[in-house]
Amino acid sequence: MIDTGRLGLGTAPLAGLYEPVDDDTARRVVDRALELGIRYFDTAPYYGSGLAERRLGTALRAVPRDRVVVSTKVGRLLRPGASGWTGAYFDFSLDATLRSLDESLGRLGLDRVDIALVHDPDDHYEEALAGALPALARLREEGVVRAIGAGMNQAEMLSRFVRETDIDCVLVAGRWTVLDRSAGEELLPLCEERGVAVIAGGVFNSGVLAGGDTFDYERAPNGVVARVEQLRETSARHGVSLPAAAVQFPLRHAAVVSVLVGCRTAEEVAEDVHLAGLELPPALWSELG
Amino acid sequence: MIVDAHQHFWDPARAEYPWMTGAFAPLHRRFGPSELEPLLREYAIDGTVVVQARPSLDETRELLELAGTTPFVLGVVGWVDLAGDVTAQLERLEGPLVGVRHQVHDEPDHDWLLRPDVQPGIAVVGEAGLAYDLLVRTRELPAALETARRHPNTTFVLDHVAKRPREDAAWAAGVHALAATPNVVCKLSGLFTEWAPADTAARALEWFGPERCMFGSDWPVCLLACEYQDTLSVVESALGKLSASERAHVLGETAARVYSLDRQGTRA
Repeated sequence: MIDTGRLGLGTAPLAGLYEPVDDDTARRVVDRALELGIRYFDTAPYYGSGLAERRLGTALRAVPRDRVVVSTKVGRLLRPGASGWTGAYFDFSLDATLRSLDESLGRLGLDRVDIALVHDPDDHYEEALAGALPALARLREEGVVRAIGAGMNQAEMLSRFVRETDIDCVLVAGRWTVLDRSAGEELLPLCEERGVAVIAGGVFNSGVLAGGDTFDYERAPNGVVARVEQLRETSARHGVSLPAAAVQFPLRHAAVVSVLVGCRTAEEVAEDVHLAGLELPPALWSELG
Repeated sequence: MIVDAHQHFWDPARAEYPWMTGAFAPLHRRFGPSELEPLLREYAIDGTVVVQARPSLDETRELLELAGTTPFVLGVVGWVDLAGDVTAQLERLEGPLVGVRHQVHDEPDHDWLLRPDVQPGIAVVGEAGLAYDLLVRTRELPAALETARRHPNTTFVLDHVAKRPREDAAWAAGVHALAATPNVVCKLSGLFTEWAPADTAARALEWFGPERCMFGSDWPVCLLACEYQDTLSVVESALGKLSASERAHVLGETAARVYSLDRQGTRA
């Protein structure tokens, strides 16, 4: 698998996932990430209907291409209406996949991406199996991309892809975190056995582990809030902040090659890099399980 | 210097644009200089070439007038009746006319360019020192190739890389053949509205070389599939490995040379 480094930048917040981010702020996020040694950037057409790809591409324009690893996704085509962008339409067919990836290159201003992921095919498994994955396999053969996989907020279907296709990696969001270990049951052991690389995203579970009140992109339910409080207390007993534990936890599994953090500001990038570099006491992990 | 070698202005309230139906319906409103100007400033574009959008001498005159009052417009690719007295029509036009175009791909006859009443008109365009813009799709490529060969001293500009279709074998063969004709240059424009924009930019650049490629946005038609910025980025995606001087050709110098924009005076 490609050397992504242990920490990568997720770019959904660059396009204003939770609140608007202006061009300059977005630019500073990527610049700071590069300064602090981050080399892996994950994006998607869906994030801000092309805005995240545009902003990432602009920020990377002057960076030697071999210095960075870029992943983007397929499965939604962007089509504007009469009054600007109306949005992203699910399409996991072979043609739409080829078109989507080529349009992403156009928005990014890059001649290749390193990793292409099928994005959220939750309700489109058969279509992705028949269209998107063969298309990505062809692009991998042609050298347009180096690695292919799927990126989802669930572990079960990712396991099916690992078993039934020839993918190189999976991006699992929110299901392998200090709070939600569901990917640990089947997906991670399977990936380890098959040599499929795991990229862990959503490691703060949409913010609830970083002091926010959002879980799975929505307001966190009470049970989740209580569990988070327990985790916070346990971490505190070991002199560790919960966000530090959250950033480092996913990398403890051998199948996980990289953790993605989504940042809205350059300060958040610096904070996450700091958290990822802290040395945490082994006793913390035995207690957190 | 960065030149957007292909953009349009129109006002459907003042004239008919018969092609603005179906998928093109969102374009059925006024697009003028005041809407393009902030985009040019934001992306550091120094000037543009405005291109005809209806077969009318009135439009050509309007665009030439607009160029006179719009500092960033460096040249006009206008329409003249190629089957009529082209010399007389050109003599009556005043302003920075740099090329001529006819919407050939909307003609029922795919050999329209080869018609005996059209060919002499194309010759006059070349003799007047103007470029001829080829607006063709795959089915008109053979006629375009034959035309370029018959007029070796005229510079032909292939618009939108001949609008690549999904089934692209005949398109690729036709464009490749045009690229082997030295008096044809290629506009890297209109890419997002057709199949595989980044790959098309890369292939056209490989076939024609940077000295025979020029960037064009095809604004506002591009807005059907992308934003203005993407039309530049997709060209960037193909320029990655090129030297600074090669990039300069694609981003402005080829357009300046082919359309003699320097002679018109850079007023941006």
